[in-house]
Amino acid sequence: MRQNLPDKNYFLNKPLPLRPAIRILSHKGTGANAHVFRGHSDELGRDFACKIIPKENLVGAEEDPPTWRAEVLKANKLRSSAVVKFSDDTEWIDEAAGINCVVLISDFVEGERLREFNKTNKGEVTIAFVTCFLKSMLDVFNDMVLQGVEHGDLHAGNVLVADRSSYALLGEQYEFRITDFGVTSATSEPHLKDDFFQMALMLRELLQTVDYQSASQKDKFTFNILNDHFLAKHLVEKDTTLDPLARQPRRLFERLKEIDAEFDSAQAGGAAQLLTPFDYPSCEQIGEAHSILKALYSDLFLGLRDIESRDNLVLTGPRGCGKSTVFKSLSLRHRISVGEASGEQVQYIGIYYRCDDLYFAFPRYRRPNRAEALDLPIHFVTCTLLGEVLNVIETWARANYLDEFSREEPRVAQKIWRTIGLKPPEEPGINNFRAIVTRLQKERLRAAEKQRFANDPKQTFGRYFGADVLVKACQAVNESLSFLRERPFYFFIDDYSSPKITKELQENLNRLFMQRTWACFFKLSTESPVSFWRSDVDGKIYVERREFTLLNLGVIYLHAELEEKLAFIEDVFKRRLSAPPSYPVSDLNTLVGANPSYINNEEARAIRDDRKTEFWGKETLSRLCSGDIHYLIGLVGGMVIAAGGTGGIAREETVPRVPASTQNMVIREAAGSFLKNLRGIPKHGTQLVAVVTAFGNVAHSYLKFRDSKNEEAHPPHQATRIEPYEPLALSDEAEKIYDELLRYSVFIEDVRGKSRRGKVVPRLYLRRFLVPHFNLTFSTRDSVEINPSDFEEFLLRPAQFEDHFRLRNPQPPESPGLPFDQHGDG
Amino acid sequence: MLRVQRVDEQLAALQKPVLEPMDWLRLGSDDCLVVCAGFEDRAVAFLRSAAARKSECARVLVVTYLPSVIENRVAEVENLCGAARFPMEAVDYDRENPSGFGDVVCDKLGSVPGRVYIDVSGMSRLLIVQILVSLAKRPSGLSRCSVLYAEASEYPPAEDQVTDEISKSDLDPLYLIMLLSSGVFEVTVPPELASASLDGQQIRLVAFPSFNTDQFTALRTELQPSRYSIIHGVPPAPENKWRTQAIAKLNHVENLQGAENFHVSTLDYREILNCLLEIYRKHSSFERILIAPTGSKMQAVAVGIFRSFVKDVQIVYPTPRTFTSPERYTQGVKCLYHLPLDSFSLPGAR
Repeated sequence: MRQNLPDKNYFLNKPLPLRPAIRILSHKGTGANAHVFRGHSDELGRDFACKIIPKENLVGAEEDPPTWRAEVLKANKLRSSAVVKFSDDTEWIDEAAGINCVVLISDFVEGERLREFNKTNKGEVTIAFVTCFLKSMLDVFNDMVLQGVEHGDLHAGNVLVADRSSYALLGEQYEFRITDFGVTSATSEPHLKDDFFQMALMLRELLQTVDYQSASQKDKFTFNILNDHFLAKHLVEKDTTLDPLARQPRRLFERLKEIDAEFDSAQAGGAAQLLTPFDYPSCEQIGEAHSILKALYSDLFLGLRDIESRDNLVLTGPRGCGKSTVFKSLSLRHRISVGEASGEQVQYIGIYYRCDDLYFAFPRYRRPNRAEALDLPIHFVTCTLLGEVLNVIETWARANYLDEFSREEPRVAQKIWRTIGLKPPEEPGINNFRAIVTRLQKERLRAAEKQRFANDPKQTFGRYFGADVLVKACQAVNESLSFLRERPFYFFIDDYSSPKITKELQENLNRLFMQRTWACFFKLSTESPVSFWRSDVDGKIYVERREFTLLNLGVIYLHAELEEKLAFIEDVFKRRLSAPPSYPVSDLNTLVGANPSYINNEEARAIRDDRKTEFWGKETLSRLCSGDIHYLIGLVGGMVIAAGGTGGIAREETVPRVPASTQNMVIREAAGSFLKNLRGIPKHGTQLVAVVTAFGNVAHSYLKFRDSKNEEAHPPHQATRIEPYEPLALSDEAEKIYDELLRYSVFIEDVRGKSRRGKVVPRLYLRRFLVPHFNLTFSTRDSVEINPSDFEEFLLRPAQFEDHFRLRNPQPPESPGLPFDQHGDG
Repeated sequence: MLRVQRVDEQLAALQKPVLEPMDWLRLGSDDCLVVCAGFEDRAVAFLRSAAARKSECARVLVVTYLPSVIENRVAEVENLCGAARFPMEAVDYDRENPSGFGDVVCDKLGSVPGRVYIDVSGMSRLLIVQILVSLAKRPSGLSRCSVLYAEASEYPPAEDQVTDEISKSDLDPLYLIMLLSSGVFEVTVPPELASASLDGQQIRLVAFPSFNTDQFTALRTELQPSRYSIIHGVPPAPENKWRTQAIAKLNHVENLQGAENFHVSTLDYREILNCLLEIYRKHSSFERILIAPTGSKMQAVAVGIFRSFVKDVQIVYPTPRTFTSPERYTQGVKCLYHLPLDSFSLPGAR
């Protein structure tokens, strides 16, 4: 309730009677007991805040010395720079005008009241801002507790978001300042309000303006801690026996600082532990459980050296071949989590990004009609990757290079703001990585949202990052922190695969990912060679071995020596079998046994004689593997279940613990299950099953009725690959099927084949674990050679193809009319 | 209590209206009915009821499907509207390119002075979600909006048919089961129902397995989720209870490692709404939640209401490729239901 307040207009443009150097310039606000004006002294060249209070509103104004003065001066005991202290007081008496007031003079703080700031920034207030506010307040509260000072009337109207940008070169441009210390106790307010409770009310006001749903994972976590712990408990509880943090600014401050570490720990703790060796067969399922990822990751991974080379790379291989596992394991975030990120251990800053995120933000992306919208995906990706760069560097640096990072962070942050060309928000606490990350998160959302209107002629588009910004920002960071020198950034971009990441989206983003610089290397993983597009929107074609290296794990596994593959597979299973406590078997050999005696020609003759091959043993697992280790894990898990589960193999004392016949049954069933799932995939599933079945049946008929001509012993023809006579010229529809066969790794494409005229043509190898299903052998000696026109029929009309080419009777050794020929160079 | 309620908590705290049986529908002249000219009997039950009750000249917005099916009831809808003198407008919904269609419906609706009735009986589940989310975005939100739902008398397939199909499938893993629909055209990710706020998180799929097993397979293959919340629909009629178990068996749900399972009504939307809120509360902090509303129509309504409030979840939909013949779809109309949505007014984003 306002009382005794004279007309504010009376004071405007008048000098203070007893301090005539200060002239009242403008009215800034009015409270229950006082007006506040902005005053200026030409003599001192400064502005002042002049709080004018009628003496009737002051406590003990008639006493000598007046009681109110002691109350106001109490605040001067506080040492915190956030407190706006009164530097002087004087009287303003004009009996004729009925004025009998005291004037309290303090520095004038340029800025906005927190209350107005909240109103003008609804939905824009960030968690970084809220935590900065809380830290500032707790810093002041600590001083207040130590000095025994209460404010008594804290609210969002007397907390200022101060703007120092017009004059400050050093330090934060924006900061929180608290005014009106001692004013409440100096005036005739009935009672003092509880400062902690008032801080809670301000926190509530701030949290109400945060857009929770748009916040990053970390910010959501922080929001919930602030909401559920600080607001619901710590700040409102008065009894320290009920809450040890109540009324304890220092401990509350420490608690605030712990939130980031708590987030990391909660994130990792969210995933379950490995209960059986076959849990979490894929990296995606392991999630943020870094300790499990570490336990299961084998550094015998084929191709690892190429992946870590300082070069741009496109990595491909069947689903489940460990692309994600190796990418994630090489990321700095993972290495920090598992304690393998000391200065000596880290040669590069690995940043992992999974393209699911991109797929959901830009589903079915088409190049927009409006050129201004072209950079939206690059903006999105740049914000995402740069945000992760800053997050990871901060975490790593705080653990290893704390002094330098603490010293340099504000300067580097300012440099990044300048480099990326975003205007920092006008609020305190923005010259740090966290604030930039928060802003980048908002920019991510802005780009994704704007994409929906990319073809709308009525939309206006602001500025979006181009392809150069990420690299420039990384270079800026790299040059500014000495501990990053000689440590380039490796961006591990996982599952960069069409059709989810469409051709046009890849052509857009390739402007970023195909850049070659000293600071950044891009490692892209993609499902198959045809799910990566080697061009960009400007028509530039990216050439293998010039702009990037292509590493096909499927091909590597096809050609790797059995021993090399087996060493990796045994290592993977050794890690898995020893991960759960008290698992009855600790190595693959004990579980499935060794079966080194498999000889392709003998197996082929057995098949020809209608004797069924029994597939079992660790060597068989190695032969079944096309790099798809995920499949092997599931397969062995299935064998254990079929053998009676963990209890069953614990009771068994012979080696192998899983009988050969059980292994054989599970191997054959798994292939059928793969084909069933294949049929369920959208669009072409049924056709893919028909195509591979046609091939399998034809190849099997070949094994049955035709001999391999280049071998003296005339063993059965054993083809598990197709080799075109000439380069393929497929129709659009056939090409779609072809691409899908590669995408789902039904066949693995090896580009090292040659046509009859010496041109390079790809060979297509049947996925290894389908070999038993079609009653073939693992031999890679023979090929099915095929004309381009037959190949077209094979893809589009597989039943007809099979009908034409499946052999039904034994064939003479040389039969020129046969549709297939053997290659014989295997 | 000073604590700030998040938007999901606000939704959880709301008094949720009950789905009310109704005998007939009477429209006022200011009202608008949105109806799909599908091929099931129940698709036009409300329109027929409104026409028979001599409703005033309310507007009717008819959604027609592309690719079109000859058995769709477009002509019947036109005749009913003509006879009742309802001003009618038709709009095509391309199932294979559905993005942004909710906004198209809202644009067509314009400003409706009376109530907007959304008859979901013949609607695609994705369309239900799209329309509800778009309506909720309007300044008036879901106030003066109602969902209408006609329960069918018979729900194919028959139990013995399903048992037979399961046996065949067990014998031959490649056996093609065709019950109501089969195949998947595409896993659709409508941009307006997307969420980009969740970077680098585990993917949790909230799936509603159905008789079209290809839908669940396509979701798993294409999205490669690492966590599952499986919603098992429980039909209200005792004679249909067997369906829950059969669908689970058809989709091999028991093989999913670590999946959490929920059994909720196919009719009482509140059960699935509460279930979604629970899943969100438990998992949204560290997981990207994808919801594929392939369950019942009323479950899709709940997903639409949920997504109207909670924007940091993603809707995905495996669009069926082929449908069984219309005579093997639902038959007859057992009961009409009305759900007023007024209490789901949209609070400010948080």
